[in-house]
Formats: sequence, structure tokens, C-alpha cells
Amino acid sequence: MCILKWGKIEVSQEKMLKVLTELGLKKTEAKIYFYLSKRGPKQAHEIMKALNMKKQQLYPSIKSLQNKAIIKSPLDRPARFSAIPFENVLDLFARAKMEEAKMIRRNKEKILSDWESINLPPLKRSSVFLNVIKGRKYVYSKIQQMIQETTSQFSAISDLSDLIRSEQFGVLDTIQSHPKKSVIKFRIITEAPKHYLKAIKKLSKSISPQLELKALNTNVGSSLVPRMVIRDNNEILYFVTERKGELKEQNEYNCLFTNYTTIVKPLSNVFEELWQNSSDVRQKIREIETGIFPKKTLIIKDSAEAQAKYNEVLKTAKKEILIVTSADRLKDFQKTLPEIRVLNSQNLSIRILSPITKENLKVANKLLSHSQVRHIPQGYLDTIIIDNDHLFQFSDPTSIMNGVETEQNFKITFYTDNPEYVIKAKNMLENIWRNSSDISRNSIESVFDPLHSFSLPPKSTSNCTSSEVLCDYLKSKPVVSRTIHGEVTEKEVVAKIIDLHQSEDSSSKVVKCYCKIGYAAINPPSQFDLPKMLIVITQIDKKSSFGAEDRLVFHIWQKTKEGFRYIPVAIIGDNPNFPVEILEKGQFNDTPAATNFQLVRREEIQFQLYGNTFLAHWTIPITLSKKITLPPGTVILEAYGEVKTKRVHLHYPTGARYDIFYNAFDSFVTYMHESSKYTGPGTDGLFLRDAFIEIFLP
Amino acid sequence: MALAKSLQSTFFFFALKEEAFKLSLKRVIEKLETLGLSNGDAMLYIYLAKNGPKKARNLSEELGITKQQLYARLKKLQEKKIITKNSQVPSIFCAVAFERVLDLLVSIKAEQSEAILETKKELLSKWRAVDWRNNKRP
Repeated sequence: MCILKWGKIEVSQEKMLKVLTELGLKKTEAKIYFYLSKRGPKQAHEIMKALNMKKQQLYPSIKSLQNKAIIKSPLDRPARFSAIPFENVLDLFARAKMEEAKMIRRNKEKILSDWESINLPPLKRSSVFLNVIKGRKYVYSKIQQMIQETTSQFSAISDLSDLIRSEQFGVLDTIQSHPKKSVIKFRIITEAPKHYLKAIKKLSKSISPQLELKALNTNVGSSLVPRMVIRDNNEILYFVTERKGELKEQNEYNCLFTNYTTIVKPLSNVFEELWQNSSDVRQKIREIETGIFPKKTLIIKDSAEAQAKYNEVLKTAKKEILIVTSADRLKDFQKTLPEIRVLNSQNLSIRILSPITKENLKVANKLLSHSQVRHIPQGYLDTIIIDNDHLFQFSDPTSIMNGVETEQNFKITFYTDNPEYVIKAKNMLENIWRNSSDISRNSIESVFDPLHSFSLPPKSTSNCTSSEVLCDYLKSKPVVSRTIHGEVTEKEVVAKIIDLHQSEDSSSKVVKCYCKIGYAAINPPSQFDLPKMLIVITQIDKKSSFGAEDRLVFHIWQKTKEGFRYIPVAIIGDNPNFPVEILEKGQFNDTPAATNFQLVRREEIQFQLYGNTFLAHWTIPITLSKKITLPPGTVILEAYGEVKTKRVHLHYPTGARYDIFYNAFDSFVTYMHESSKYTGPGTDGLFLRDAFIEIFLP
Repeated sequence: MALAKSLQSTFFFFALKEEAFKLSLKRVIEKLETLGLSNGDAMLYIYLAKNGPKKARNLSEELGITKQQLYARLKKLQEKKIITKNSQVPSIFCAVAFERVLDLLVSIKAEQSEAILETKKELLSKWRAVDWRNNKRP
């Protein structure tokens, strides 16, 4: 509006018309007013003729001028329109404009609320697109354009070389000149390799203060980082050129530019996740300069990420790997064997702690060639410690160790390199390692048949040292014939026992016995100063031929002419009615045990069965040989796995015959010595929950 | 029956909303027109203010008007000082906040009113000096 300048302009009809339009009249209205003002009252047709106007043009303008009270029409017909003096028009407009200003000021809130309620429906933009942009120049100008068009957030992942170059080309200056820069989130993730410290410092100083620049924590799978630019989560520029890693080598730029939600959204999420795993670039610079990196403790919920982290840390392993795993998961180590072989060949010490069961014994034995494997009781959390520096704990380590996706939802991995945690956890595991036991190379069943056959293949006896007593009774085999009948069913065994309870057998030649029997092979650690032992716990039911009895038979591992054997050396029992001749004629014929039977008081020997746990406790010292006395102790058998049902027939040289039916379970063995505790693998124990024995004496 | 009623009321609500929106838009446009803008100019300002800064190319694509038409309007809005453009190539146009536009409007109206009164004498003398002549071509 330039009314003030009018005074200096040349006077003409055109200029006066302009004055009128600037006062607020439309062009036609201005012409009509000017004509009427200068030529006096006129009829409509005269006006139309003079101004070369049509009726349709004239009447709306006349009406508008009348509404503004600028022209008047008397009541006489035909109507003659007359204009009010120009002076009045000026006063009218001056007042009107002042009124308008006041009105706007008064109604400002209302007008603003009108403004707020205007939500323009989104205009149809060109539909989804997917373009390829080639060449640095074009890519940079696209990025600039994206920055300019950003309304809420601009996110980018770029390697350092690209970022520095784009800064040099002024791409990032666009941020500084963005009119809405103060309300927009500009975020860039880059990398901060040590050898480019100078470049990073320079860059961090030159970028716009509006830009948040973070550097990726390099040990979080940095090599997988995609390069991309995302605008408002609507458009993405995705770099498809392979990265060559070095600052100077990257000249080719090939990008995909798209607004497909299915591409933009997941990649926006990738950005957000990486943003969380990145540190402010200034902090990163400080870390590089001081060499002090913050220790990390992470909860990784994604199995692939956990796998990547594990693989990455594994590559850095220099000295040792200590693994605690469960019995089931040890079986899966079969798939990891080649990897363990490679690690072992790199002079890495690999130690594995796991409950050893009959099911995983085979794998454990294979692992022994490349690592140390020891048995621990069940219930330890799966843990891996690498070089005293890294600790992993898994809720589902199967997927980590084998790179296999499982369907379990719980794939949470705890990771830390905080020395405080790692060292403490390591000490704890070292303690467990010291108290753990070597695994037996064979399961107890292959060492002996229940109730007999103490033979063992000579090749697996190399680690046995006990040889002080040589028993010559083993020159002849104690069992002359052994028949293992076809599998009987669990029910048949139980039926036999029910039979026993119902019938009284008068024949004194047949001894019937219903019992629970536990076999615990114990390989005590050196501090126990005890030989390798086998303890047989027999709890005989009161319905048996000679009534109830709790009996313990102790065997020690000795060298014989036919190799190492478990030799029965001592028996303790609490049944005064038990005829000792059965021991002499039967299974203990010609063994040291036959003459080392000790009758004890009921309270001196106690057996308990809780669910699948069978416990035997003796309170007196047991003489195993002239030199060896076993102190009071406890043996616990924890049964696991599936029931095994068998029938065995034994025939002794004395003519005695044993017919045995049983339901049995493999068991973990725990031996409580007076000074310490020993835990044996699940292959060292056998628990005959239901055993029915018929002894036919000669 | 209940469903039909609820649908009716829903449609009625939308109709109301639509009507209210139109009224608000109309009132805002009227205000902008008092600045001496056309309806189209006012709409362009509203579009730019509601959608954020844009380049001319995007505006012409989105509004479906030619660049020539667009530039004429943009120029007018710039003259009225209710949009700005930056110095980059290509330029980005950005609308002045509507609240500022209202303030601008108030001050312009007041200024105009004062200007009219101040220059009244001079204008009157010039007005008297000019007579009507027919510019109609034969």
C-alpha cells in the first residue's frame, strides 16, 4: 500500500482509478464511481455505454457500491445513480480501515481458532516411487533437497569418508539455512576409527550446532551398517554401492530413492536401534584420546544380534574359553565340534562344565579330544567367559552356539565386559571347576551289570591308580553264566513285587527279595585320599524272605589280572536275621566282602527316598582294607531320564542262581565326605527303583 | 434401528465438521483478501503455511498449477510480506505465521487509515484536477 507516495505521482485518470482500487474498490467499481463522480447522476444504460460494460458486470458492482454507501440510487424510475463526494469516500475508507484494524485486534483469538481448525486434506502427491540415483553430484543434491524438505526429522547413517566429503561439498550447510531448523531433529550416525581421529575432530567442529552427530560403538556389528538418508520417515535414500572401507577409494555413488513404506519403516527402525547403540561424537573423541572406553553391559533380546556379538567377541579370544552349559545343550555341541577343533588348534584352552548324562556322554567324550569337559550338578545358568574379559549368560544359548534359530521366545542374552562382573563370575566358575569331577568315559551300566560282573574294558582304565590290593579270587569269573532276557515291562516288574506281598513261600531254598538298589561310582578328588569306589545301597522290603534290611556294599577299584575291577570289600547291614551264608555262597563268594560283613545298629545306617532322590547315610567308619577306612558319609543318587526295565539271570560257580527283574534310572551321584562334597556325572549312578530278586541257593 | 440412528448422527457430525471447516476457511480467506489478495493467492498462502516450506517445483506439482501462475502468486505474497524465500537455488518458500499476518494486517489497516487522512487534502486537489475521459476504443 503506497497511498503516502501518491502526492508525488502524475495526475491522471489511471492514477486516480488506482487510488480507488488501493482504497479497497474493485476495478469495475472504481471506474463506475469515477465516472459518476465526474459526470453526475446517470442511468444504468448510460453507464454501460460510457464504460463499455455489460449488464452482468454492471449490476453486481452497483450493488457493491451501494452497500458501501458510495453511490446512491433515488427511488424514481428509471433510476439514476449518483456518487457521494470523493472527500466523503476518503473519510469513509479511513474510518472503515481503522474499524477493521480494531475488529481484527478484538477478534484475533477467534480468527486464530478459525485458522487452527483448517486442516487441509493431504494433496495427492505422485504415487509411490522407486528411483535409482547415480553419481555423487546427483546424490548430494538429492540429500540437500531432502534436508530442505524435512519438516520433523532427518536421519542419516554415513561412513566417515562420505560425511567428510559431503561436508566439504556444503551438503550439511543446508541444515544451517533451514528455516525450521530449530524444531527439526537432524541426526547422523557415523563411525569413529582411531586412525581418523584428526578428521573426526575437525568434522565435529565444523558441523551445524543443530546437527546431532553420533559415532557407532564399533563393536556392535559396525560392519553390517547400511548407509542411508531418511527424511521424515517418508523417504529414503539407500546407498547400494559396496563400501570399500578406505577414505580415498569411494567415488561411485549408487542409491535407491523411494517412499515405499515397507522399505522406509523398517530402515527407520534400524536407524533408531543404531542410534541407541551409538555415542556422542565428542564423547567418542575423548574415548579415543584417553584410551578409556566405557565398559558395557547389554541385554540383547535379538538372537541374531546376540550371535553377532558372540562371534565378534569369540574372534578376539586369545587365551581361554570357559563354558557352563546344561546337559541337554551339551548334546548340541556335536554341531560345534569343528569350531572347537579350530579354536583348540589356536592354542586356546577350552573348558566345558556340564551335567554329564548318558545321553550327552558320547558328545562329551568327543569334546575331550579338543577341550576339557567336567561334570557339574544340574541347575547352573548357561555362561560363557572369554579371556577373563567378556561374560555371556544366555537364556537360550542353543541358538547362539550353533547359529540355529529356535522357536523359543526367550532369547535374552546378558553380556558384559565390566571386569568387576567378569572376574567375580570367573572366580565362581573356577571354584565350581575345581570341585567338579572328571567325566567317566563309560556309563556305569557298561562297567558292570547290576548286581554283578565287575569287568571293565582294559583300555579305559589308564587313569586308575589304586593297585595296592590284588585279589586273586578274580582269577575265575564270579558269574559262570549270565542271561539277559528280552525286555520286560515296567508293569511286569511291579506285578512281581505285588505277588511277593501276597504269597508266602515256604521253600527255604528260594530267597525272595524286593528292594531298591542304588549304584554310585565315586571318583573322589585327591584331597579325599580315597580310592575310586562303587557303593551299592540296598533297601530290602520287610516282605522279603529275611525281612527288612538296609545294606551297603563297598567296592574299591583294583587292578586284577584281567584288568581293573570293582572288588566288593565291605558290607554293612542292619538285619541280624540275614543268613551270612548267602553272602558266602552267592554274589560275594570268594571276595573280601564275604568275610567283612558288619552288623550295625539301625540308627547307624539310614536310607531315605524322596521322589527320585535316593539317599544313604552311615554314621560309622567302614574298613575297606587294612590301609583304607572310609569315614562316615552320605551318598545321594538323583534319578533322571526314562525308566529302563530289564530281567537278568545270573548263575554262580557255587551253583547259586539269581533271577532279577528291575525298573531303573540313570542317576547323578553326590558323595558327601566329612570334609567336602563330590558330585559325579549322571553316568556314574544307577537307581533300581523296583527290583525283584529270586535267589536259588544250591 | 439403533445402528441407523448412530450412523445418521455420525454422518451429521461429519457434515457439521465439514461445514465448520468451510466457514473457518472462508473467514480466514476473507481476512487475507483484505490485504489485497485474491482468493487463489490466499489459498496458496494457507497451503504453504499449513504444509511447511516448499520449493516452487513441489508447489506447482502438488497444486497442479503452472510455474508461471505460481510465480505470479508467490511474487504477490512476497510483496505483501506474508511469505519469504531463501537465497538458495532453487529457492524455498516459507509462509509467515498466520498470527504475524494478523498483526501485519492490523498495522496496515491502521496505517492506511492514517495515510488517507494525512493525504486527504492533496488527494482531493488531485481528484478535482482530473476529469473523466472515455478510453473506449472506436
